[in-house]
Parts: sequence; C-alpha cells; structure tokens
Amino acid sequence: MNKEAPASTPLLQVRNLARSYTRRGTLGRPGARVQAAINVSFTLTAGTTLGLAGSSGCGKSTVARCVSRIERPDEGEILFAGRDLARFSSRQLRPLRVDMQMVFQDAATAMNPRFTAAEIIGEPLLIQSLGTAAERGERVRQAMLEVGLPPEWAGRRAHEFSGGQRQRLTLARALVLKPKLLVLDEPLTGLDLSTRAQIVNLLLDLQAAHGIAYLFISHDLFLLGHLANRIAIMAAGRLVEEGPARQIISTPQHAETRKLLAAATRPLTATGSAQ
Amino acid sequence: MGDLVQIEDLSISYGNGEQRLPAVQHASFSIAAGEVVGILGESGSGKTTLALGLARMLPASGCYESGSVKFRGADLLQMTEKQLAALRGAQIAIIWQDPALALNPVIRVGTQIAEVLRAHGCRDRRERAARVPALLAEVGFDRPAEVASAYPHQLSGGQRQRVAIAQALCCRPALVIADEPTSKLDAALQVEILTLLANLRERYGMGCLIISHDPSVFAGWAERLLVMYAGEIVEAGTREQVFGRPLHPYSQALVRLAAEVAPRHRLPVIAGEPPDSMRLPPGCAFEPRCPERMAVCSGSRPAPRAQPKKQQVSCFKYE
Repeated sequence: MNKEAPASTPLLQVRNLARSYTRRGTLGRPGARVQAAINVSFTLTAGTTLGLAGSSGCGKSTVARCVSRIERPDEGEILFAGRDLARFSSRQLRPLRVDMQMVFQDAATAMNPRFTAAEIIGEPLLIQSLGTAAERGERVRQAMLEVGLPPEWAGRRAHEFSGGQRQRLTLARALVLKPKLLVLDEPLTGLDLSTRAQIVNLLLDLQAAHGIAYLFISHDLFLLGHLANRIAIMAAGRLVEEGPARQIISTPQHAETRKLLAAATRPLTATGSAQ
Repeated sequence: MGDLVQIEDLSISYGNGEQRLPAVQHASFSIAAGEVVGILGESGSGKTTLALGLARMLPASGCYESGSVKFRGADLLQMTEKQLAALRGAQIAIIWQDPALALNPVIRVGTQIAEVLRAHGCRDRRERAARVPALLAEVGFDRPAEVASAYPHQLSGGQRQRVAIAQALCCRPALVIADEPTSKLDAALQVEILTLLANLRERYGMGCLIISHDPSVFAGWAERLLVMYAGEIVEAGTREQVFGRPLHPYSQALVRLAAEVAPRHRLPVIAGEPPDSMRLPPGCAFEPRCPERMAVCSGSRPAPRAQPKKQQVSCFKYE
C-alpha cells in the first residue's frame, strides 16, 4: 500500500463527468437547469500536474469540487487510485481524505479565525485520529517548515498573517496528511504577483520532494505554463482541448485556448520582453 | 502649468495617539491633464492610501501628516465637504476594485448611473433617461436598455465593472482613479476592461491614475509609472524607462516577475515579505530583501535622486 506508484500510473481518472445545477427561480418557482460540466474526462498521472483552465463560469471549479467530492456528480466516474469515488458516501470518503486534499482561492475564509495556526494545520490530523498530541505537534511543525513559515508563529491566528502567508498556511494544512493529490482551485488569484511567484516555486519544490500530484484550476495560462505538465481547457462546461503544457502554449488549437493565451501573455514593452 | 494634480511631500498615517502607522511617506508627483499615470506596488505599499488621499476619501482613521494636494491649482486639503461633493463624481471619479461592492444591490444599474447625473446638475428626468443607455452603449453593451433595468446581481463580474466605468465616466471627469480595476476578473476579461478604459481615455482625454500590483496592467497605455514600496515612491519615470531600464532593485525585480512562460521552471522571485509598517527599518525599507544591498543601506534612508531624462530613484546605488 505504501509502495510508490510508478511514474506512469494514473492516480486520477475522470470519465464522463457531468454536473448540473438548478438556478434559483423567482418567487419560489424552480429556475432553469444549468449544465456546469458535461462529459468531462481526463487522466492525472501520479506526481504530475494537470492544469484545468477556462474563463469564469466555464465549469472548472465544478469539476474540482466533484473530483474532491465536495459535490456529488450527476453522472460519470472518478477513479482515484483505482476506486470510483463518484458514489461514495461521506463516511466512505473520510479515510480517503488522507490521500486527497483541497486548497481554495480565498485563504482568509478557508480558515477558522479563532484557531491558532497550529490548530488550523493540525485539525486534519485530529479528524483522522492520527498520532499522539506530541506526534501531531511535530507534524504541524514539519508542515510549517516545509511551506516556509517559522514554527514560532504556531500560536498566531489567521488574521495576523499576510495574504501570501495565509495561503502557505492552507497549504500546510493540506500537506500535513501527506496526500497523494492536491486539488487547488485558483489558489493564487487574490495574491500579488511577487507572492504568486513565491507560491508557484513552493508548489514545484513540494512536488519534487514528495511526488504529490496537483489538479490545478486557474484562468491564468501564464501560471499553468509554469506549473503544469499537461493542460486541459474548458469552455461552457466541456473539455475543448487537452495536451502537454508545452504544446498547448506553443500551438493552441481551440479558439478558447488562444483567447486565454492572448490574455496571459502581455509583454510589458511593445519590443519584446523587458530586462 | 497644465498640471491637473500636484502632490507635494504628502504623508498619510493611520491610527491615533501613540500607535501611528505610516502608510504614505513624503510622496511628490503630478498628473498632467490627460496623462495616464500608473502606481505599481505590492499590497501594503500604500498605493491605495495615496489614491484615496488624493480624493480626500481616507477612512476615519486616516490622517494627513504633511504635504499638499492640489487639483487644478485648488488645495484639496482645505476644501469643505460641500466643495468636495461637487468635485467628486463630476471632476474626479473612482473605479473600485470590486464593482459588486461599489454598486448598490437593490437599485437598478440605470438608476444608479442617473443618480450621478442628477447629483451633478442634470435636472431633466427625460434627459437622464436618454443619456443612460448611451453611456452603457459606450462601455460596450449591445443592449443597453436591458442592462439599465437590471440589478447588479443579474450581471457578471465583467459586466458590473463596465457599469461602474459608465458610472464613473458619465460626467466626463478630468481625472479617473482606478484602483486594481481588473484584479477580480479573469485574464481574458482583464484585457477587455483595460482595452475599454484605454479607448475611453483616447476618446475623452481624461487624466488617469491606475493602481496595480501587476506591471502588465500598465502595458501599452500608461505614460508614467510610480513604483511604491513601504509607503514611499522609490522610482518614477516613463513607462519605457521603468519597464525597459528600471533603476531601483525593487523595480527591477517586479519587472522580471512579468517574464515569459517557461514550462516547469521556477519563477524569479523577490525573497521575503514587505516590512511591517510598524517596524520599518531605519535605513532603506527594501534593504532586507535587496540583492544589491551595501553597508550604507541599513544606516540611513536614500532620498529621491533625479536621473537623466527625468527618471527618479531613491537608492544609494545612484548617489
């Protein structure tokens, strides 16, 4: 069970995933059905990054929420390490959470403001009843060091951290269980460019050190170009293009990909790159 | 002469009594009529405070420590609330980062635009009703009448920001302040909104003060850039100067951040975090993170130095 998966093993296989929502109607009448994700299929290899890109409202967050089973898909399979999670109950899912964690866009609202950093990071260990108090303390310390937070700050609360540090905190919480897969939904969007670059490098380092796979949701092909091995593009609930990151960036096929790419690469000066 | 805004030695702090947080320190710059000036800096650098201070819109805890703000020669810091109310919306307009917060959720967007027109002298209801769709069409709506009767929640984020722009520009202000106008939007929408702003500026020739942490927001349209760090303007110059030949080590690092896509490569970073404004170092505020720090940097603070072609930098490298 603890054996490292060979590099080519699919860690996550999503097949024909579909999810629709009922839009809220006026005055109690039911609203229209909205197909947020239709027939989405992709594969994520262990230890690699799949970037899932698209404009606002294309359904990429819906896919992320279905994969991490915050939501139940209407149709399709989510094969994680060989088991189909699509129909698992929350009780069945709980032991699997050790292997799969999620990081959200807004770190400030993803943490209990009354918890200290140590409590925030250590909570998944408590939920999974792992280790003694001393062992948990040590794992929290390790997780803080790994994301570049001084362990002396363990007693501080979320509001005492800057935006970038808060995102490091949610990363530490996600890593403390040593997962095989992180689902990251726009984790860099609210951050400054300089902080963003720091977190991108941190994610690359963590992946190299622990072989964690990332499903990385973003609208920014510039970032995904740096992070991802493969990139999948979504538009209007469907997957419209998928391939190696290099190929998507250099020879985009679909109009949506070209649109995202044009938006992602804005040279500072008309004559080539700065510097 | 010809200066729309003239700011001299402006310092702003927050808090009261003993606990004073310096947010902006000794800022001096001007905006010429019709000029587009960008402020580039990380969160906490004081760029928003500087813009709010310019419009006399600081929160209650904000306080002017020193300096002057002149708009078309008149001292804004001496104006009464009544004088300011006549100015804001008519002469100085602000586009906020989050249009969802800037628009009233229970009033139709057309009515909200008409409110601004009425407040600044358009007394005829029919004239207002006629101008609103025209204003909405100008910001790129195909069916302006439908949009005018919509509530903000019925519009998407990009559409809401267009409405906010229509509202800001409805009185043809001489100065538009846009604080991170696109940071809540996805990449494709960012380009759309920035292009729209640049086109409207071409057409109406208003001065613009654009604030962002992202250098690419200024690409193509800002004429001059101010780089802020820890409350100070550390570099000022034309866009070509700051992007093409940045002088301050901090500006150099920021410009490098907007580099080209290189798959699976580490990005260039600025190590560390900006300083806590309660514990600013005695020397240059960037010194702890600076790759080129010298002995002199930790002892005293560098003053702004004029460089060739009106570029200006606060760094001991150039003393």
